[in-house]
Amino acid sequence: MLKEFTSLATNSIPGVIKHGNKYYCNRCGNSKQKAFYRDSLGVYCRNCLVFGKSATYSTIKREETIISSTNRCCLTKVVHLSDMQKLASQHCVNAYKNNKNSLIYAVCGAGKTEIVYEVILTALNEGKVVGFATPRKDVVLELYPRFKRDFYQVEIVALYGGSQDKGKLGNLYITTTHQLINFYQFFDLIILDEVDAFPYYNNKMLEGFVQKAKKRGAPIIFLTATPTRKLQYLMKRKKLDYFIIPLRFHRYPIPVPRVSLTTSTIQKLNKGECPKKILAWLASKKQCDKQVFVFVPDIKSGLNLEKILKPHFACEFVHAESPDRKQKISDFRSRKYQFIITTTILERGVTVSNVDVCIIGCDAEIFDERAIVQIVGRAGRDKNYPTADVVLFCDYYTREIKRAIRQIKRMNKLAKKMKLLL
Amino acid sequence: MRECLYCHQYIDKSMSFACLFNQEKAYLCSECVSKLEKVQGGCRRCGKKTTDEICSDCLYWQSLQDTNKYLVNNTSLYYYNDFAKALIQQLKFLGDCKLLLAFKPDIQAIFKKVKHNNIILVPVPLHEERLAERGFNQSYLLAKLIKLPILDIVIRNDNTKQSKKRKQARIVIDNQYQLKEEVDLTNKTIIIVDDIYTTGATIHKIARLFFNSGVKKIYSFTLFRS
Repeated sequence: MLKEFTSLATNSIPGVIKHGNKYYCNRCGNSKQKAFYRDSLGVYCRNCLVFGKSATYSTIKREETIISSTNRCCLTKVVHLSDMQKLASQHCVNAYKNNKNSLIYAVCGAGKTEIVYEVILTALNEGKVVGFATPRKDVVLELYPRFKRDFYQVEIVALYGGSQDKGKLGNLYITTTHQLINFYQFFDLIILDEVDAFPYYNNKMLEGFVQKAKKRGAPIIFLTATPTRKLQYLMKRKKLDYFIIPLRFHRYPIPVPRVSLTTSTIQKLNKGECPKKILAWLASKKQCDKQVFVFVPDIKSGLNLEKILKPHFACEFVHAESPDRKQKISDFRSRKYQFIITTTILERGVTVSNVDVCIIGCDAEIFDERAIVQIVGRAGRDKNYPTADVVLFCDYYTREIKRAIRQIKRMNKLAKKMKLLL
Repeated sequence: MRECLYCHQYIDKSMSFACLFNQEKAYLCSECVSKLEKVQGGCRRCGKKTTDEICSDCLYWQSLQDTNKYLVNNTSLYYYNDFAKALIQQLKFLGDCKLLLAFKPDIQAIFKKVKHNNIILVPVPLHEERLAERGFNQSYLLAKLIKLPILDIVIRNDNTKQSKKRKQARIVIDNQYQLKEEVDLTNKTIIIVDDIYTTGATIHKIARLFFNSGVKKIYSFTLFRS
């Protein structure tokens, strides 16, 4: 079907150019002068160094506009959407038609992917090129077969590190944000999933990639469960269209965390003690035989805690460097042990039914608003056990804790107001 | 707030009265600094991690008698551990020459003790092609961090990477390096500057070039000692 593609222009241009007295990186869109540095031959950009050097004396290749065919595209089957999803979907289409950026702010498990089907189809039927970008490779791998199944007569290209599809033509690109590096003024619509996830969040380089990969004035649709501060600000100031889905698919409210103050938690853990409050809480969980997610701020305190708890409780510590991570998680799922101690690596994408959650040392910097909301989102995900006990152990309240609790309460209130709760 | 040159974390510098007086800038975050291993003890001549007073490599170089007279010893800053490897990777093969700034405080601290008269730095050269490819000579930039006169008169003839050679191929003395012109260096002391000291072949080969120019002593300074 893609015979009607006319051209895929690949241009060579210098990597870094000078505008007035300011440097600009053509590859990553960086214009922060601190990130440029001079070597013997010229000036190079440190922002996107991992992709090789982009400098005043080097050239980069970039792919520019293609003219695509206008085939009728459709879905292979009817996707059933809930009322909220239908509204959200309509919102996306409107945003696309008006060329406006938009944010779909939906709590975890609200079915964000199905929401964007409609707008993708609309754009494709106009002969446009659509990019579905996400910071995480596993999302691309998960979505590619799903999109392939659901879309009819659409050439889908999946791009990620090590992908076979590089250089292929298509009209729907599912890609990691890193892979947008080679695209310049290419997409008529970009859908950006998990905007707040590592590594996209707070990464100027990747933000630049997205901005330069889309055509001038082309809209971006952001999907997230926990909008960043910047997005929240834009929402509040009405500078960004948004649509909120405040409830989970099972239509119960999100559990609101309880704060329990302890004293010098992390220092005590380093000394090999554990605050009595935490021990008592864990013991009570042991009695009623409930599984618990225990989040700690860093690997060191996690190891300490594991040492303290091992003699009394069945527990395991899972962190980024533990070799049998997958095994340990699946063991936890099958209830082989009771407490899983972990760092923020498990804040997303892990669903275990009927668990309680606690964060130890919640005042640590790593637990910001988004992290806390995501962690709380681990609890009560099962239809049969929609409630859970969520405790944040901290030495003192931080702004982030307050904001997170406020955000959860606000979403619950909103759901109540819209008479959506069961 | 400054960013760490390597990991781009913000460098956590708590405010104190010391900040007012201490002008030293931090280029690496404390975590990255802790991963660097400073050279301590080891071989008296080259700093290799060993229990012998003089390591076997140095004994070999000593057996080539003439070197003995001039080449005194080698000073290295850090051991070439995994983290150092990653740094060198970024510096040389990605070409991030800003990374060298990270070593500036430590390098200058070492050279503070050196008496400055009659010392000349000789950076190890790159082959022209490699220089064009990389955009800079890391040894030259390293020498520039030390505020002493630099003499860039050595040229390199072959373009194979030292790290791609076997040990035996490295220590064979050939005309890999060459002087651009004969110079008179009577009563001068030379410090050869390089990034990594592995077998010492590079340093010794360059040292040989200066035997006839009347130098008093030849030292070498390298960033890493593997």
